[in-house]
Amino acid sequence: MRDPCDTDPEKLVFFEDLYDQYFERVNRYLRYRVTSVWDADDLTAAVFTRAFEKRHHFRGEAPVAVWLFRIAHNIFVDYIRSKGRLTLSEPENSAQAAEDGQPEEELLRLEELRQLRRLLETLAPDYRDVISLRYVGELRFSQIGRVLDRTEAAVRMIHHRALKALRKKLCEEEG
Amino acid sequence: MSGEKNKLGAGEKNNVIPLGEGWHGTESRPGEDTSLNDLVRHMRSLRDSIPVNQKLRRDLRARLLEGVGPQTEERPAFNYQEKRGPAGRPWWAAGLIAAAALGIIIYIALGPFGCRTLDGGQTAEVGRFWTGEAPLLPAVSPGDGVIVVERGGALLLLGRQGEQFSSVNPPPGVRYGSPCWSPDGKRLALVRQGGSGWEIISIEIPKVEVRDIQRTLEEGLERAVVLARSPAASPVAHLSWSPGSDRIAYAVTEDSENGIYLAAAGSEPVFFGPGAQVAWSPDGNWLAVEREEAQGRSLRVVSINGEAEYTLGQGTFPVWSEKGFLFFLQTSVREKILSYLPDGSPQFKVQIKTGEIRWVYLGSGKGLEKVFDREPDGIEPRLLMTPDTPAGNVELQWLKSLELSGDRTPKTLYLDRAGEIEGLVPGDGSSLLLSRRDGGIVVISRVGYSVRKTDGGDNQ
Repeated sequence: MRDPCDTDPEKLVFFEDLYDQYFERVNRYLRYRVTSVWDADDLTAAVFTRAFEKRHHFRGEAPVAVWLFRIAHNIFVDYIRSKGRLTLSEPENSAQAAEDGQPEEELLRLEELRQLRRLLETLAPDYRDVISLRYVGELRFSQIGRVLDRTEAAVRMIHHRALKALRKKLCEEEG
Repeated sequence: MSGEKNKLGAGEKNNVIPLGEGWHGTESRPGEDTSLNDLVRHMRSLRDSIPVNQKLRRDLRARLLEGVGPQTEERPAFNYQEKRGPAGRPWWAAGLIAAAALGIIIYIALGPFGCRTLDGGQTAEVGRFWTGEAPLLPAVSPGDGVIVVERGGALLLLGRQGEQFSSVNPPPGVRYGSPCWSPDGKRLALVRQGGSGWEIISIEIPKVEVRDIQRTLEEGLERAVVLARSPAASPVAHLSWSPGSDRIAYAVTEDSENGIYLAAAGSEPVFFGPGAQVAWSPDGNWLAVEREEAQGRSLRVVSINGEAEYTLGQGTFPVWSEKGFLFFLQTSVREKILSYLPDGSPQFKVQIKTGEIRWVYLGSGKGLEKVFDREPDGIEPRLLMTPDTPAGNVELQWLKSLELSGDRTPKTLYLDRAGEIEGLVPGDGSSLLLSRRDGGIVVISRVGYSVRKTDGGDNQ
């Protein structure tokens, strides 16, 4: 049986738009959350492959960002369960970041990013989810709530507490 | 992108407000502590430092979008409505054929013709120890209940997870070292160094009980049997029991040359040949020997009577598992370019020498000649895993110093991570213990693996 959506030009254009608009966010989100950049890229491919296969299930009831990040988050959670532990990533592709002519500055920023990740790793899992979806996935609070099956108010509260905890840890670390 | 009505965000609130504008989250409440806002700005600015894999973006887009459309005529799917096989056979005939094919595949994979391969498992840190200069090589009791390590001439006793529960201290002027548990678990051999030289002693262990192990070892030391002696100028190390727990191989350094000896209770030690470390084959008829050669340290597999010898290639710290896998460490060098000059040539780069755990399947030792005869060009070792290395800080410090100095001429930083590895020893039946120096501290990690039978299609 042929999937009728394969020939539906509207669905293909929809997916094309989705891909172009969200690839960077999803790839960054997974590279931020997964230790190995290779694994993160595999997961990114899995997210878009699944989104492609399920594109005809998207009914527009939720914003597309929520739909896509729900897929990304579920794939991430499955990956973490299979690994048995949660770690945050350390970007290995520093050469890529260094190509813009200011390599030292970029590398210093990478070090700051590492520090932030390290501190984030010490926070509770729901804090990490909210902060990652907010600042790497670039989602609204209401969208994060729908990705994580929580109310917007709960997400705002978690976000605020996570920021305070993070600031406290940063202050402690920097003396 | 075409088709305005299909654009995301047209008619729906899908668009995410760009960070930094129109933001009404908790972080921008009026009167909120400004340091939270600073943190938020900091996190937003760092987001762009996460690189995006542009090649994946292009390739995946091509795979997903350029392979669909009217040209995708058929999909290999089973038509449940029709209930007939592709060649017009009744559906149950196709099912029968499929089941038979599956059975053959399973038989090949799991039966006697299946090849064995290994999958790397999880790596977990067992413990970190300050040991000064001496290498720290653990000895693991069969059943994996107790780990013994030498530290400062004493024996440190650890549980499976690295919990430190006691130690056995030597008398004044004496040091213990190189502990090695016999495969049957009934003996612990170790080196005792005193004023008169070096002795290899064997302690009887009636039962390995974690609660009583300190007392058992202390009592055993009083009744220890001396298996071999060596003068003070000829240090002894790297003990290895035979699979039958009746002989022991050890390395002696004489005039800067390493030699392997074989000893047994009640008989004189026998010189086996040059080498620093050994691993016994499961049938006890072969030894994998690490030798210092002109091109570096390499591994040979030598029959116990010395009549046959095969070369495995570069490698150190051999471990021959009961299931016939020979593990060892191999060194590889990889290069990472950190920055480029305007003309595209590398500016700052790092060359890192790393140790990799590799393996070959040699079997129990029986018929080993045939294994090597089948591979006249040598057996290609496969990678089990590359131990994690604490990368990043040294490189970053180096870059910072270059930035401060204003030096922009091309430079290479050489890092030797392989030199930090102190040893690889057998763990339980599905793990190895890796000992590595990390900034003056020795870290012992457990590296898991699992054996899998395949139809021969696995390649590293």
